[in-house]
This record gives sequence, C-alpha cells and structure tokens, in this order.
Amino acid sequence: MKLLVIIVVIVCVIAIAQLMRVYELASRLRGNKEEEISYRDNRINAYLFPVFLLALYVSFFWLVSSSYGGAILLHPSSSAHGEGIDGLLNFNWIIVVTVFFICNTLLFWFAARYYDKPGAKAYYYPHNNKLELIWTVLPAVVMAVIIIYGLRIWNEVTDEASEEAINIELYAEQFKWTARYDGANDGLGEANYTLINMSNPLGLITESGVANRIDELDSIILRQWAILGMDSNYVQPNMLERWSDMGGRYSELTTAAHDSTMPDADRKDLIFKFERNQRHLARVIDFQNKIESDTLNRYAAGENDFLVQEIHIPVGQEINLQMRSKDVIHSAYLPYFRVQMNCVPGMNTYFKFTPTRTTAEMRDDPLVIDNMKEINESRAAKGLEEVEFDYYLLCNKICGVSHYNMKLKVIVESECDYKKWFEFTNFETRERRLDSNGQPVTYDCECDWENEDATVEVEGETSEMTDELPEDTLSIEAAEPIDTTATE
Amino acid sequence: MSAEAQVAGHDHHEDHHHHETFVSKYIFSMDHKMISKQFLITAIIMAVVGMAMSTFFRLQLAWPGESFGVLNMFLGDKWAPDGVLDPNMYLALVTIHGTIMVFMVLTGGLSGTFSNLLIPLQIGARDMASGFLNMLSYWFFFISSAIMLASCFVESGPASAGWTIYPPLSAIPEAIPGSGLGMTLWLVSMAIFIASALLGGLNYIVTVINLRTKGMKMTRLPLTIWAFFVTAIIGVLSFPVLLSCALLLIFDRSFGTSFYLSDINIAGEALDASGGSPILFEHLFWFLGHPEVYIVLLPALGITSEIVATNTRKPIFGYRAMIGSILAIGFLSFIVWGHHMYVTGMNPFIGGVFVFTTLLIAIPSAVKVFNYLTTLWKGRIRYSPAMLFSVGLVSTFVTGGVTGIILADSALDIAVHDTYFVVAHFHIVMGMSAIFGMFAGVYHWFPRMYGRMMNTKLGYLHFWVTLVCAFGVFFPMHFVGLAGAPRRYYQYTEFPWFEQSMDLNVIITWFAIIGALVQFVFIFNFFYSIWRGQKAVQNPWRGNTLEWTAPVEHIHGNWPGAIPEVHRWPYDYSKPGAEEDFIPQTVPLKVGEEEH
Repeated sequence: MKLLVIIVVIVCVIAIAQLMRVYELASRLRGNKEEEISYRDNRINAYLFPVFLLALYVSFFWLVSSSYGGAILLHPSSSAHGEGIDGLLNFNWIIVVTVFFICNTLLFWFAARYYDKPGAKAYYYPHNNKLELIWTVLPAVVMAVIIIYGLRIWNEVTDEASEEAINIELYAEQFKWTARYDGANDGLGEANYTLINMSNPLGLITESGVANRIDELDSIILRQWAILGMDSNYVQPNMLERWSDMGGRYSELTTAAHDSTMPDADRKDLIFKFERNQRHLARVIDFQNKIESDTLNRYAAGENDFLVQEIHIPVGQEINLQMRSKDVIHSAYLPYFRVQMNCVPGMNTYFKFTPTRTTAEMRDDPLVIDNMKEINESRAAKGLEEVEFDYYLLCNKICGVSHYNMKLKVIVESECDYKKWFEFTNFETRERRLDSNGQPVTYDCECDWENEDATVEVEGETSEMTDELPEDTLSIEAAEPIDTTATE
Repeated sequence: MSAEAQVAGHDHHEDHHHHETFVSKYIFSMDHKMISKQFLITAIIMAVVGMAMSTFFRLQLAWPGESFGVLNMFLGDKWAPDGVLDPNMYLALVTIHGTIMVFMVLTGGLSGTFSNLLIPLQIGARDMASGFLNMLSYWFFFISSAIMLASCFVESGPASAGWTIYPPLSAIPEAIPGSGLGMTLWLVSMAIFIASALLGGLNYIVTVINLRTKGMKMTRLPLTIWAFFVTAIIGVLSFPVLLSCALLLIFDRSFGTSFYLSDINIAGEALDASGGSPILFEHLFWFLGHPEVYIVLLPALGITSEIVATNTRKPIFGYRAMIGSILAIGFLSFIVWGHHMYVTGMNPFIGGVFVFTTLLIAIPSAVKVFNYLTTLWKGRIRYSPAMLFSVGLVSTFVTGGVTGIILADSALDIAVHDTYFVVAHFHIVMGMSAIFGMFAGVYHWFPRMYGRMMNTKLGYLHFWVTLVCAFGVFFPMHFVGLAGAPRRYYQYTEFPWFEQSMDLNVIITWFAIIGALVQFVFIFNFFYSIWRGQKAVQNPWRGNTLEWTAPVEHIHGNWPGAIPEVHRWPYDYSKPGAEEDFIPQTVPLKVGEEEH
C-alpha cells in the first residue's frame, strides 16, 4: 500500500515534469522569456490584489459580526478591573483596526494602480524629509497615548490587595488545582514541599502534618536501608543515633529483606533516594523544632485551613489569589475575570480581583443564554450532554500531557450563599468555626442567614444546619464584626 | 584568502583553474555561493518536515480524537495508535515544529542562504572573510538539523515542553516523557546550531566591515546588506546568552545543580533542588528569544526593500530612514524581552518599563511600512513572483504587526497571554513575513544561484494560494484566541466555551492543508528549474547592484577580472536624465550629477 502510494507520487511528478517541459518548449518557441513579465501578467496580478483585499475585509466583518466575533470576542468582563482592561482594549482596537485598514488599503490600491503598462513611467522620488518626520512623529504620539493609558490600567490591576481581601491559595500540580481557604481568619499557614504526602497534599507546616511526615520518612528510610543491607556508608551519623533512640519501633520498621541481587543501576538510584530522604528528614525535624519553640503561634495558622476542589467566591468582594506550584510552571487563567498569573515552583505569585457577576447572573444573561444554546446544539450533535454556564479556571502554561484538561470550577455567588458554603460545607466536624479567641465566628450579614432554616448541601448530603448550631451563637451581636475576612 | 588577494591587488584568475573534486565543490565547499545553496536546500527539507508536523497537529485540533490514516502512516502505532494522535506526541509536534521553523528554517535558512549569497556579491568581495569558518558554519548547521530530526525517533519521544522549553517541565523527565533523551538531543542540537549561527554571524560582520569594494561606502550599501549586517550583530550578541541559558539547563538536568529548579515535588518524591528560579531561565531565554524575532524578520525586510525598488523601478523611499529604522529596531530588540513575561510574577514595575520599550518598536516599524507604501506609489510595478511575495510581506507585516500593540500592553496581555491571539500575531508578523521574504529572495536571486530562471506561472499560482492560505489560517486564529482558547491544548473539548470556535478550527485546518500542499508547487518549480529552467541572462531583473555584474556561471572569486568599483548608491532607478530606467552602481556619476 505504502509502496503503491510512493510509486503513484513518483509517476505523477515525472508526468508533471514532462508537461512542464512541453509547455516551456512551446513558450520558448513563441519567444517568451521568464524575466520579461508580460503586460498581461502584470495586469492580472494587479487586479487580483483588490479582489484579495475585498475578500479579506469581508471575512473580517464576517468574523466580527457572526457569533465567532460578536458573542465571544472577549466575552463581557465579570470583574471590576476587567472593565478597565476592556476599555483599554477597545481604545487599542480603534487604533489597530484603523491602521490595519489604512495600510492594507493603500498597499493594495498602489499595487493595483501602479502596475507596469505601455507608456508607464516611474516617478523618481528618493526621499522627503518633511514627510518622513511626520510619519515618525505621528506614531510616536499615538504610542505615547497608548503607553500612558496602558500603564495607568496596569498599575491599578497590579496594585497590592487591600487588607480586607479574601485570601485564597491556588495550588497547581500536574494536572489539577487545589484551592486553600483560610479557615479561622488567622491567615493562610505556611507550607513546605518536603512535607507533602497523601494526608498533607499541600505540605502545610502543622503539628500533625510534620509528625505524620516524620513517621512516614522514618519508615521509608529504614525500609530502604534494610533493602540496601544496612550498609552504614550511606547513613548520616545523626540518623544512627536517632534510630537507636527509637527502640522497638526501629526494628519493626527494618523488617524489609536485604536485596543483594539488585542491578547496579537500581541500587545506585536507591542509594540516591535513600540519601535524599535523610536530608529531607533533617529538614522536617527542623520544622518540628521550630513549631515547638514557636511562641508567636506562627505555625498555628495552617491548622484551620481547608482544601477544596471547587472555588466559591462572593460577588463584589476583593479576592486575593496566592499561587504556588508543586512541580512545573502552570498558569492560572480566568478569561472571564481577565485574570492570569503563572504558578511557579519555588515562589509565590499573586493576583487580586473583584468578581462583579455571579454564576447565576451569567446564566440569566441573554448573551450567555444565546451562546449556551449554540454550544449545547453543537454538543447535542456530537452526542454530548447539555451543560450550563460555569466559570472555569484553566491552566495556560504548557505543563504536560493533560495540560488541556486541567480545570477548576469557580462559583461566584451572593455573599450569603458564600457564607453558607464557607461555614458549613468544608469542615469535617460541621460545627461552627471558632475564631482565634475561641468564639464562634459571626458575620455582619443583612440577610440574617443564621436564622433561616437553611438547607445546605454538605458533601453530597443534606442536613438541617440550624439544628446543629449551638444555642449561644444566635445571641452573639452580629453588629460587631470580629471576622474581617468575611465581612465587607 | 580572497582578503589577502584583494589587499595585494591581485586578480583572482588562478582560483577557478584549480581542479575541484566533487567533494570539495559540492560538499566541503568553501565558496560562499555553494554554501548558500547548501543552506537553502537543507532549510527546504527542514521546512517540509516542520510544515508536515503542523498539518498533523492541525488535524487533531479540528477533529479531536478522530482517526487519520496519514497520522498512523507517518507517526506509527506508538504515537498515533489507530490513527489518533497521542497527546504527548501532540506536544512534541508543536515543540519541534516551532524549533525547526524558528531556528532551522527562518534563522539558518534565511540568513544562511541570503547573507552568504549576497554579502560578497553585493559589496564586491571575492568571498567571505573566512571561507573555512563559513564551511564550518554550514556543517554545524547540518549536524544540528540532523540531530534535531534524529531526536524525533528516540523511544521516549522528542522534546515536548514547547519551543521555549521552560524548566522545570524541560528539566525533569518525570514531568513529561519528552524531557528525557529527546530534550538532551534538543539541547545538543541547539548548542551546535548556536555555534553555527555565531560562526556565520562573525563572518558576515567582518566581511561587511572589511571587504567592501572601492567606493562602497556604508551609505551606498544595498538595504539587504544593512539588514544582514545588523542581523548578524544581533545574533552575535544574543545567541551566546541562549547558549549559557542552555548550558545551565544541561547542568540542572544532568549534574544536580539548581539554577532553575526549586521546591519541586514530582511523582511522589521531593527533589533536592532549592533556591533556583524558572524566572531566571525565562529572562535568559527571552534575551535571545526576542532579538531572535528580528533575526528572522530583518533579513526578510532587507530582501523586500531590494526587490521592491528593483521591481517598481523606483528608488526605495527614504533610504537613510530605512537604515535608521533597521538600526533602531536592532537596538530596541535587546530591551524588550520582558514583554513575554508580564504574567510570570515579574515585578509589575519592570513590566511597565517593558511596555514602554516594546511600544517604541512600533515607531521604526511604522516608518518602514510607510516607506514601502511610498515606494510603491507612482511606481511602474513589474509583477515577478518575487515582487508579489514582497507586497504580500508588507501586508502580513502590517496585519500581524498591529496586533503587537495589544500584546505589548501589559494590562491587555493579562487577558490574551498564551492564547491563540498570540499564536496568530507572531505567525503572521514573524512567520509569514519571514517566509514571504524568503520566497521572494529565492524567486529573485534564483538566476544568480543556478543560472536559470524559475517558472513564473507556477510562481503566480504558488503566491496567490499561499497568500490566501496564510490569511485563511492565521486571521481567524485571532478570534479563537480572543475567546480565550489557550495555545498548546491537545483538544478543546474539555471546556464548553470553546465549542463555538470549533467551526473556525476546521476552517483553519483546511486552509493549512491547502497551504501546505501548494508548497509542493514551489518545491517542484525549484528543483525542476535547477536542471531544466530557462537559461538566465546576466541581469534578468535589470538591477543596479553588483551581483548582476558577475558572470552567470559561478566562478571562484566571483568576478573574472578586477572587482568592479562603485560610484553611486544602489537605487538609481528611473533617474531623470538617464537613458535607461536603471543605472548600475558601477557607472560613474556624470559631471554635475547629484548622487541622490
């Protein structure tokens, strides 16, 4: 089959070459020369330019006016700073589209008008300093305006977040997002990558997290040591001390069998990991010491943080996203909010924004309804289920094989809905959260949600939340905002 | 050696009497004309590979998950089982397509071909300053291309972290299979490529400075030479930075350093690396990466300037302003790299500075465009295929260039960074403009290279279909990008929003397929004309520059007798008072004649 294709291609090329040969011989007999472009050829090519230009302009207007442009051309912004960006964009569009039309029109007009024809003469016009000065200064002035306007918006967007902003951490890893909320309004706790394990996916520095990780590392290291035949060459001296202090547990953990038949490459790899784990263990133990001597309660903040796989944010409140990455560079991209920032391993990045339209409002927006109708018709044709509008967080920096499918749902809701979610959904205990003074957290909320018979969904179940509220919480003065995170 | 001969005032007769073997003439040639042909043909082969890759991944983007026999045929059962493209292979194709096109085709191919061919011929030199370094430059380029192709056949697949190879993705094989042996080969290939670019660039600079013939003042150089000269300077200043950037990455990958790596936990293991920064890599990479855009673009603009003047039978408008713009663009290209990094977490103040410098580039670019337009105005345009491609270049340069204003604005970049809007922008302004310039150059100087003419009618067919397809592919991409579609996505089915632009993706792919197929018309025309094309006369386009004063047959040393002397600038077309509509640079000024 492949051979046949190759033969056919070769035969075709030979046939075309022969046809060309015949054509060229004929044209040479007529005395045509390739370098002498005929007036006819000049004319035809010249006339094709405006035809092409017209097609380009028609397709431009079609793209802008059809649903490709009209509905999705940077869908209306859903954030406060996004409106500034959209204003700047529209301003730039006016300039860009004007230049596009003027230059292309002139270019193709000249190309069509001044082709070589009998009697034509070219005009010797080597330079004109005044003209050149004009079209140096003109773009300079336009650029100055764009720069000043652009930088003004840029400064607003990149300004530091206010004190009242809700801090949410976005944690990126191949290929999922995790969001971390500050549970007790004491700030997001610190984290370190050496602490990451199954029960502490973000590597938070908490007492339990550190203790858990030390146990885990001890058992991993001892198992590896046993497999290596308890060769003390690769063991740091303080480790031996440590293990002798552990007594019985130590021998329990070293039960793995010595593997003397291991290939050299695997053994080398194992030794490398064995040594590396010891270094990590030393660092983790260091964290334990720090927590013990932590008089300022610096590491307590992480204790109440909670992790979710779906972001809820209240409309109209400033959100400060803090980003970290576990492995490679990712980029948090929220096109509807005009938010984008890379998540870089080894550093923290930030982006603040204020959502202005809730998910529910978007679903009622006529433009969005039209778009979703179109989308669902198209999906139905492919046999896919119907979907509702939702905001998503995308990954927008190539990060590996499933880069195209690294998403996190973002739900913008009213302040009350947000508080209900925040209060009840994410604590395993389902009890009211306590603030740092040991008092139940209260909110300055107009809707009086605490007194509603709110039926809140908790991890798939439904329960009557009001019944579980301790009596005294209802009597606490709502007017005095203790919790600054959730108010305003 | 030609330099010595010139200094001694000798003619160069002996050289072409030397007996040349096949190997010394066609393979290890030190003649700049042969080396330029070697560069061109290698680049054509690489371009076909890069183009085929782009059509492969366009198939997946238009019809995600569908089976195509052609994918299975070329990529095999491992990378396209049942004809469905594997997602890792998708990323690899995108990466290698970008690398091949940017470096092998538009840097090596464009500068290598035309700087080599035209610098000695247009400045009136017997050859490059160092023929031997020139030969090395080609062979390094060849080896680098060969390694890049070979990397596509390794077990774990070729490099697939994008052509920008940001670490940690490119540094850790656990992150993506392509970061194993494939990435190593990529880095080796690039290191050799950089050596090639530096050898070539140094040679071009030295040749232009030292070997100009009598009377060839800098202000009498054709704009092609100015463009190649500035390009070579940019290359020599920026490629070493990429080399050091790549070396540090090699250290991180192989020797356990952590220049770019910090706090990484991958595949369930915490790594040792600490204190490094991927942002450092981005700074170093884009310090080359942005000048690279102009390394690609300036030669194309230089070629166009020459072709536009010759074929409108008019002097290029504002010769000195054109030189000034080339110099300004060359200088500014070094201080704008940060506009690739607005959303990397770089200090916003620095971002603001880069907004300023980046938008400044719009000024010299605008001057160039207006000067091209004025050159066309009241011309007597002869539509050779080269001229058509030059007009096409001005259009792509404008159309792709204006969207740069939006991307240069950091606040707007937040909304469209790394989306298809960016892809559309740089493919039109850099990719299409440069490739149009390259086509124009090939059609224009083919008689100078092979002593034969290319077929004009096939050239017309090639141009018009290519122009339509270039816009057909990249114009709608702006709209896909404005809807928020990120680049380097294997498929757009996971987010309902992108369903609406799926029709556009299908249209784009069809244009891409047609555009790719029509390139075979060019390739056929090219190879057919080498052997069967109509014999060329000495000065087929009636140009002024020195290369048309040399005999059609290639001889070592370029001119059989003395090197011609230069008496005027190269753009005396349709000068009032002259008999013909062109006056070659070798014609002395008449008494009382003003130069320009």
